[in-house]
Amino acid sequence: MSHITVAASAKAFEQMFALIRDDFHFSKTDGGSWGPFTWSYDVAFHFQGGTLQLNNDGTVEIKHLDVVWDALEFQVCFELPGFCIGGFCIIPDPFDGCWVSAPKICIGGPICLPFDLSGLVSEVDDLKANLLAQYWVDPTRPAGISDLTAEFMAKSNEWKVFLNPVFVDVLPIDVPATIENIIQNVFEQAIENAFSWVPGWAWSIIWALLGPLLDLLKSILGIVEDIQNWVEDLLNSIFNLVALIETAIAQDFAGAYPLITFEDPYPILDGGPGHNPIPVKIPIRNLAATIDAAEMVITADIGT
Amino acid sequence: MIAIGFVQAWGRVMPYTSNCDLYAAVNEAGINLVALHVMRQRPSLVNYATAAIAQDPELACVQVVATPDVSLYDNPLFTTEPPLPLLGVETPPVALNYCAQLTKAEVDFYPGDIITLPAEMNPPLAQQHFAMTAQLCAGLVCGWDELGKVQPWPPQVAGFAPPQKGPPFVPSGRPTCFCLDAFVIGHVGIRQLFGFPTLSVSIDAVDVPEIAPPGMKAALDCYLRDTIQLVLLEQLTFPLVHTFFFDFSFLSLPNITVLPAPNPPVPNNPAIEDNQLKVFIDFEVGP
Repeated sequence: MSHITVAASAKAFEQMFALIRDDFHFSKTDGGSWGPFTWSYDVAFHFQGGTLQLNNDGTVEIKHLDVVWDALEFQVCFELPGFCIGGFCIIPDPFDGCWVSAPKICIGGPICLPFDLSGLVSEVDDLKANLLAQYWVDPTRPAGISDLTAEFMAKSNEWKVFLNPVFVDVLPIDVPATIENIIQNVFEQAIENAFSWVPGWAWSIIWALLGPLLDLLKSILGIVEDIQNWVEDLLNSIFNLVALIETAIAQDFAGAYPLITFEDPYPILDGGPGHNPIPVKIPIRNLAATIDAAEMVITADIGT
Repeated sequence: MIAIGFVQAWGRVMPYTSNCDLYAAVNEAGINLVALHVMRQRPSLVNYATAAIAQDPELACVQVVATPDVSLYDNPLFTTEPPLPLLGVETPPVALNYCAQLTKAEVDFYPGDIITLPAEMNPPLAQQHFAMTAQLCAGLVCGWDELGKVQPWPPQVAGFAPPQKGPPFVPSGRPTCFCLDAFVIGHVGIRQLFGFPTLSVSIDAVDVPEIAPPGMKAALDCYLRDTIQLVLLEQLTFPLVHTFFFDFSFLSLPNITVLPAPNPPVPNNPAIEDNQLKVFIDFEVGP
């Protein structure tokens, strides 16, 4: 029989989970290329909501966990095919050449479309995890020192109990149908910004020559589907944000956001000024954490 | 009868938290190891001596066992006390070195199956109680051989001399020691301490069987009961939010109120049963 038994009901476990859920924040910046374009993103998200259930198979299951994108900013860059307008002769020279020509305006070259979909909410449909008790030793702790000296150096060993994901199902990110309007505006603005020296009178000619901007964009980027689907593919498959969420859950829940953490040996009587008296600390051994449909149970022994 | 804890009831295993939100239990083997750690890491809590003995621990009745950290951080082995004065001896004052040590402590939670209680304590151990046995060793330096060095002060012309200030004469030497076994019965409750519901111990009875006559025995029992009660109250109380070594962080949130689980449904909280001390805790989530 273990020396110590501690149990937390499903209600208490929900509170423990809420703490790590609310504590969890993830951010990443990345970039790459895909066919005719290059991309970069700057994303950050946290979790919200979710329903929690403890299971008799030793797992806790969290459903419908919202992924709130605090930042979902990305940029797609590509080469706008070059073309020229104007340059034709208004008053020709009867002998040769031209006396008066219309100005020649050429555009083309690199264009970047910046997007900001911050505030979008996606979802972790299902997350199943068991409990993992780990003993953590500070790698910077000098060899041979006592546990007490390690504490005074802020290098105590620690027991930690983590949620250890065994199954994660993240739903693809949905983008709103209004994305088409957004992209059209962004594309138009990007062209105007890139060629800001073009005189105002020329734009109506340029727009007429370019035709529908979304068609042009699809042609340049080789998009065969509708724009909304393409953006969703971009986020979910090319940027791989679904995998990013899965990895963040798998790695950070199981390694950076413990449900329970406490130092070992555990202080039960405080020390005094100048380490006189020293704190009284109790070594904790054989920590184990299990779960069933009713509660989480932690058992441990006191070391000698 | 309400079944509490992880017991068989109607053929079904009941969860520990069937009547509460959080449950914590520690058994007597665990508590006895904690007592050992306390005695070794803070020996001055259980060893008392005059300066002469504290500075020369070899003189103590029982060698003090301490962890290396105690000497590493220059902690004392003993709490230093003034010598015991010889009453009425004032010109010059004379006092004796002594030491008093708690050398062993062991707890037995109901049902009592470790400690054999003396007949005076009406065994067996009652439900919801704990028994404790402690070995107390004490010694007094008689100093008889050195009393010849004491020179009485001359009487003043005006009559009795007023008491003189100054350190007393304290004979040196090795104390004459004895050890007694004390038995304690107590129970545990929850009381508000420093604004928090806190686990605290109450001592019901103390008995030192080897002491006679009855009046002296009663006085010593009373002294030990008062001492143990107050030492435990001052030194060993645990807020419910620190449920036996595990700090649930959410219990410290400002919108969380921690309460002992009420009766009903929990008949005894804390409970001493199945060789364990158990605590049942509820919490409320505020706005």
